[in-house]
Formats: sequence, C-alpha cells, structure tokens
Amino acid sequence: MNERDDDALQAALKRAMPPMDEIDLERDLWPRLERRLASEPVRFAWLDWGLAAAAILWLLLFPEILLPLLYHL
Amino acid sequence: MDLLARFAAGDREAFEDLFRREQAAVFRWIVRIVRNRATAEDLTIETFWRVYRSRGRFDARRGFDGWVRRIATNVALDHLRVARRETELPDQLEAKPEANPAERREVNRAIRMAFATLPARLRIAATLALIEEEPYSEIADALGISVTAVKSRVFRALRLLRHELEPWSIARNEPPEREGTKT
Repeated sequence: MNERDDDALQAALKRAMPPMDEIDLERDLWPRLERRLASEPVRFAWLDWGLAAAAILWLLLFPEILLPLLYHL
Repeated sequence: MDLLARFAAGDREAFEDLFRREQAAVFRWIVRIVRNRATAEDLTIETFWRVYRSRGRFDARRGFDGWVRRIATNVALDHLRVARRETELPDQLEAKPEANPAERREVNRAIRMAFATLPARLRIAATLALIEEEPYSEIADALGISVTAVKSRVFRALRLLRHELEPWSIARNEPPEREGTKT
C-alpha cells in the first residue's frame, strides 16, 4: 500500500459518500429538547436514598424520637 | 453572573440561550459523522440532554464549545456502535451520474457497505479525516485522543477498506469480473 493508493481510495470514498459540509439545520430543536427535559422523571441520587434509609433505620432503632421530631416539624 | 456560570448553576434560561447559540454547529458536526439529517437532529438533542445533565461537571475555564463537541462526538460514536452493520450508509447525496452510471452505483454501494462494516472508532476517524477533511488536531480534540492515535485509526481504516474492497479496482472504479463475462 502506498500514498497513491491511499489517495485513490480517499477519492473513491468521497465519490461514494460526498462531504456533508453544506447540510444545515433547518429548524429550531429547542421545543423537542424542552419536551424531553419536561418528561424526564425526577431522579434521586444515591445520597438521597442513603439518607432516607438512614432516617428510617434511626426511627426503627429509636422510635421515641418520633414525637419530638414531629413536634419540630 | 455570566451565561456559562448561570448554566453551570442550573439556570434553565441560560441553558436555552446556549442551546440556541450552539445547536446548528453541533448539528453540522454530528451530521458529518452520521450522514443522515433526521438522525443528526435526534443526536443533537441527545447531546444537549447529556450536556444539561452533566452541567455540574462543566469547567468554564476549558470552554463550552470544545466540551459540547466532545460530548456530541461520543453521542455519535455510541450511535455508530449500535447502528453498525444494521444499515448501509444512505446515498442521499449520491455523486452526479458519470460515464457508466450503473457500474458507478455498484462501486459506490460496495464502498459504502465496506465503510459501514468498519469498527465505529475507526469509522468516525476516517469519516472526519478522509471525507470531511477535518484537521487531525480537531479530530483528536473531539475524540479525546492524540493526533498520532487519530492517524493510526485512519491508517487502520484504510487498510481494512482496502482489504474489503480488494475484488474491486478502486483506482479504475470498475466492478469485479463475474463468471461468464470473460472473453
């Protein structure tokens, strides 16, 4: 394989698959992205789940704190 | 607070402003890789979706354009990995008919099919370097690899294509000889 062969193959590639440099976006994509952003469910991070689990465990181990906790809420 | 800082802080209006400013450039980059308008639109949306979700990791000192382009390139690469071998590349921008249109179409189809069988990471490098003639440094930046690695991928892509297209005389653009056609 030499440079001339590579040039011939590159030329053949460009004939078969012409460059797409003149293709432009023809419409605003924001409405579609906005719909996707709105439809995405709220995701909880591992930290959120960890804190929730710790709080439940704490209440199970020390149920007497429930009343003071509710009072402060 | 400037636009990028507001975006990084989760300001939706700042994100919309950035999207409207960058969507055309991102689309143009992706369409050159995937070579299909509808797919490029979908992947542009996917890119900005990932951009929005990754805003916490955005480093304003490194610039927004390059960061988005890297994400867009990864999105396009993911698409090529899934789409590989499923479909032949579209020929919507077929070259103008020449002396022997039937043979030309056959050669072009063989080339597109051979190209579609390339591994995605070689295909993306070959598309950008050989067809779109993007500078190697830009391709390297978009792929997050060195210029040497890009050259290596292009070289390997050419070698594989040459092997796949061995029965065809690419330089002369002739189809392979078939049984019964020899005189």
